[in-house]
Amino acid sequence: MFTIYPAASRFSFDKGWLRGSHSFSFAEYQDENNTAFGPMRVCNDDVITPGRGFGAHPHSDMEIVSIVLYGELRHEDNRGHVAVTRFGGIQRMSAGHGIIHTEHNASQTEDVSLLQLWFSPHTRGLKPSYEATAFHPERLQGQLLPVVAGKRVPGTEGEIAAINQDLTIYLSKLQPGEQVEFTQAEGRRVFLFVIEGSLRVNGEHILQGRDSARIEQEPKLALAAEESAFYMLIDLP
Amino acid sequence: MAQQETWLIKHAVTGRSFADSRKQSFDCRLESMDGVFRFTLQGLPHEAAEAIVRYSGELNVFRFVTPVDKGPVVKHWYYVTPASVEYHEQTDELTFEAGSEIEYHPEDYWGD
Repeated sequence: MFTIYPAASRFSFDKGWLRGSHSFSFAEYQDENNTAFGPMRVCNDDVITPGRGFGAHPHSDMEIVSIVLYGELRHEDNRGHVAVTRFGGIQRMSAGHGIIHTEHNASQTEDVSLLQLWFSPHTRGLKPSYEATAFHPERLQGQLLPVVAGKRVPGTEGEIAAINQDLTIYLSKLQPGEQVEFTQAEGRRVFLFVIEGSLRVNGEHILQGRDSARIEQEPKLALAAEESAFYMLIDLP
Repeated sequence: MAQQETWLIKHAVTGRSFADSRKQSFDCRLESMDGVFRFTLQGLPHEAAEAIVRYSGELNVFRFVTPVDKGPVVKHWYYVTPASVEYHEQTDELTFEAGSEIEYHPEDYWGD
């Protein structure tokens, strides 16, 4: 089953200091029929203006991943973590039994663009934790690069963020004509999100920038760039 | 003059508001014993109480305290035990427990 969600079908808004699009029910966008895809609950595509952000607020029992596309994102929490992340950086926060944090654009001159993803954890009441990791952007080219994973692979500390859910987030860039394949294990889901460019999937489905697809029961995915493509693939239970 | 308290119950994922003492009239009593916080709310609209029960696993419960001297608001957030959330229709009471509390001061954070 392959369901495409065109970019324009998302809920988009502009508050001045924050503009963005929600793929799932969030804030002013409430749709009882679009609250989750497996454990995935939120995919927000946000741009925050310089120096602005989200003030202190709580989270619990949620795994929150922020992928910075450009600009500088500053995180601060009540457990003493402070970090500024740029492109190539990933923030993973496990809210567990409760955490207070803020998120701001650390720059006074440039916007920050980020994808923020929320997932239900495999267990409630975990100890809250936070980590910032960094991948090498040049390694995105021509392959699916894992940047967040549920299983810690020895030797990847600092490069792949560890999340409390059985999922993997991959980022990838393809040149025109380049192709990679992904095998979807039985009973798994794939959330595919094109960040930039154009991607042809299994020869028939074309996704443009900011389009997404929710995919189930497709054993093999052949991902080919129509034009240079930058995309995210999430393998979910 | 007593300090002013505001009570809020929201959906933790979407931010949807279920109860807001600034906009709705209801009573909220909070008792704490041995690290457990027990809430009793009376007078909430029936639909709001039912929604809180339905989303018992994904609640953000807040108590905002405005000091007598009108100083910065002190915020308290509670980690609700989902199985404890109950609505007693006959007495119009919503009760639930929280296993922990975080007190925070928004002005202590950068940018706030």
